[in-house]
Amino acid sequence: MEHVGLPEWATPLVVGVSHHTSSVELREKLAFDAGDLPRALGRLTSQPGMREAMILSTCNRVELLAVGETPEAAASGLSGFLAEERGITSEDLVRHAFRFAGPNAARHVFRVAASLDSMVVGEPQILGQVKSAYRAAAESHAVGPVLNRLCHRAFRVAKRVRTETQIGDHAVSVGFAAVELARKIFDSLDGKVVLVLGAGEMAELATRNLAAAGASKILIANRTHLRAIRMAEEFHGTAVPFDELPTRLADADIVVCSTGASSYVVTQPMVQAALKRRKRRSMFFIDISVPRNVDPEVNHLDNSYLYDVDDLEQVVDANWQTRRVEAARAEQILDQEIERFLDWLHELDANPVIREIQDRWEGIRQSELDRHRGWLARLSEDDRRGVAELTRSLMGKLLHAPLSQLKACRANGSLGYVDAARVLFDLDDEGRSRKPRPRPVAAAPLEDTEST
Amino acid sequence: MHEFLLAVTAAVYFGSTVAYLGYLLVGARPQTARVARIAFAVGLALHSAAIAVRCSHGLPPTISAADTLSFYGWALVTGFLVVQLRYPLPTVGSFLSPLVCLLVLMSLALPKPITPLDPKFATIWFPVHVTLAVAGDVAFVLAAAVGLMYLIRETSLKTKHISPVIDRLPSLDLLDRINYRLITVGFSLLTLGMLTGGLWIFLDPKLKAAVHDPKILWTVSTWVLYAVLLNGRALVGLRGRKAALMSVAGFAMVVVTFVGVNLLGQGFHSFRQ
Repeated sequence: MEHVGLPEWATPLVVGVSHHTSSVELREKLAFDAGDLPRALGRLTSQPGMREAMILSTCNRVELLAVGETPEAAASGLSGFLAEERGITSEDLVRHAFRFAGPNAARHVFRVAASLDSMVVGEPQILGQVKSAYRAAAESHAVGPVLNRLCHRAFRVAKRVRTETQIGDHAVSVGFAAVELARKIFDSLDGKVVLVLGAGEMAELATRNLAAAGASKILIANRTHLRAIRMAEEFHGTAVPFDELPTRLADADIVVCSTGASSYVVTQPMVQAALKRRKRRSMFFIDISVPRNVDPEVNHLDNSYLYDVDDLEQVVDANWQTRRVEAARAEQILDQEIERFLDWLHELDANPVIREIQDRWEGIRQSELDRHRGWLARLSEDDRRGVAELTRSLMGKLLHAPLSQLKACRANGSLGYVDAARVLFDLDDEGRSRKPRPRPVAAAPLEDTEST
Repeated sequence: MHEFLLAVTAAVYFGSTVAYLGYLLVGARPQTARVARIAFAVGLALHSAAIAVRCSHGLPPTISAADTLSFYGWALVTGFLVVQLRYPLPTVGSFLSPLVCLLVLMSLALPKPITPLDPKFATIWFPVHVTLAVAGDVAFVLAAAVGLMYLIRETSLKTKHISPVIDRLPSLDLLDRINYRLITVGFSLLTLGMLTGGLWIFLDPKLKAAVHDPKILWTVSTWVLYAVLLNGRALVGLRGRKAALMSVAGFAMVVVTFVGVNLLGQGFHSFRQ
């Protein structure tokens, strides 16, 4: 398996389906309702050999994360659970689901949280969904040290990707592209006046985005005045009679145009007059109608900017390009973070060795003190305590160097030293097996799960 | 000592320029902008020391061509850092810092004679007049830099040419607003500079001939240009692209006046006396 060198009992496993691998029908079939999660998680963790589990279920993906006594135990636990719960056969799973273990599982979880695996790469919602999936699992006591750490690392990765790359900086939909362009002209949209002509779906979407970005006053004009009134109610705007367009144009900073007219509704002389009336303060025309409703000549007037559907699409395309470049940069961040996470997993395995060495030496110390109890009994209480203290500090000093070496080595991931320590300190009495034994979770350090 | 300090200043300004250009061209990281700003401030301290050393010889920093170029560089950095307090826009630095480097390098290349101070400059009018004039010019240079940024951004928006570099520039409205404020300030300072110059000539009978100095004609033309721009804005909304173009044109006139009259020309304002 690909997780060579990782302690088996700490190897995370992910099995799931996403928009990349399966149809929406299968995803629907597998999906878990948020209310049903505690029960499902309880059932999942009670599978034989299962230590930790988590379920992420969104409309684009259903993923099960698990850590078992061994990766095989986790895998069979997951497929057993899916067979019982959702009637999914293992053939179905092989055909439609992805499966990652060890470092690849970590990378997958990081990619999902950082929105690199999303349908719209860089969209921010997925992180919140991963967070609530983790919260649900934590509340059901389904997660242990490995998934705890994995999730917190994933949140950290997502944050780094968001701040260190521009993956989410640029609009990848026409509606947001309009807002982005408006900001390049007007700086802030606060207090800006938007005039909406027509009532197309795209115009509505663009208006909604502009209003959310701060545009405070929405004017709506429609050939059917009643529709304008209805839309005005929805946007808390003002309906303006369509005939007043030439005069009201001067009030608008941003004009969103989407009528069904077959000729230009906004002409160049109209805009020229409006610009003059508003002392040439900038105007931004968004023409989402086909055929176009705003005379292209309007773009040639000073302080007037016109973007039609094709122009907006072009902006969106360019932004997609940027996202792809930024996604490649994000993968580099992932590489670093995966290294760190794997280091930590190795560390998890070395700690019991250290404790065993300490236990063994403490045993030797106690038995030696016991062997000498005859003459020790003749000493005063204080002296006896002094001798005990002497042996303790001697042991501490002697062990200090090898233990700190061991701690340092496991930080590099060199499990070989852990193995060597087992032989040198004679920890495996039976048969001198060089294979590290799986340790119970309780023996593993329950480290602070906060990211460091 | 002065030469050494000025050379170190040039090196520090160069570092700042690299950082400011990196901010604009490579990636708008806040750390880069901070490094650039700190380098500019350190350079300014060194530059002030260099100018102070020179002044300790009894020479005001605006007598010789070399000193004046250096002083303009100093004033530009000061003006830029003051504007940064109100409008923290590192990209303005990307446009300004190369100019500052150029001024200091030119100053380093030119000879710096130590000549006795002409007695006609030994009056309070001289520093007052020069300070106002230089401060006005600094505002105009900054306005031109902002105007140039406006033109670049505006062209990109009109032609729908998308570039991550241009996207790092501030919005058109903000650039236009800063441009307007800088020109208002520059115009007031220039007006005061011209008034003090006029009073100085009026009060000192020995300076009657200075009335025919070519600098005065050029400066009056520059003043008219900016007056038209400011009035046009208030009356007919002369703003945006045309205003940006005019502020760049105004800068060209300031440069022509300085190079043509002070550096190359003859007369009262010339360095060649």
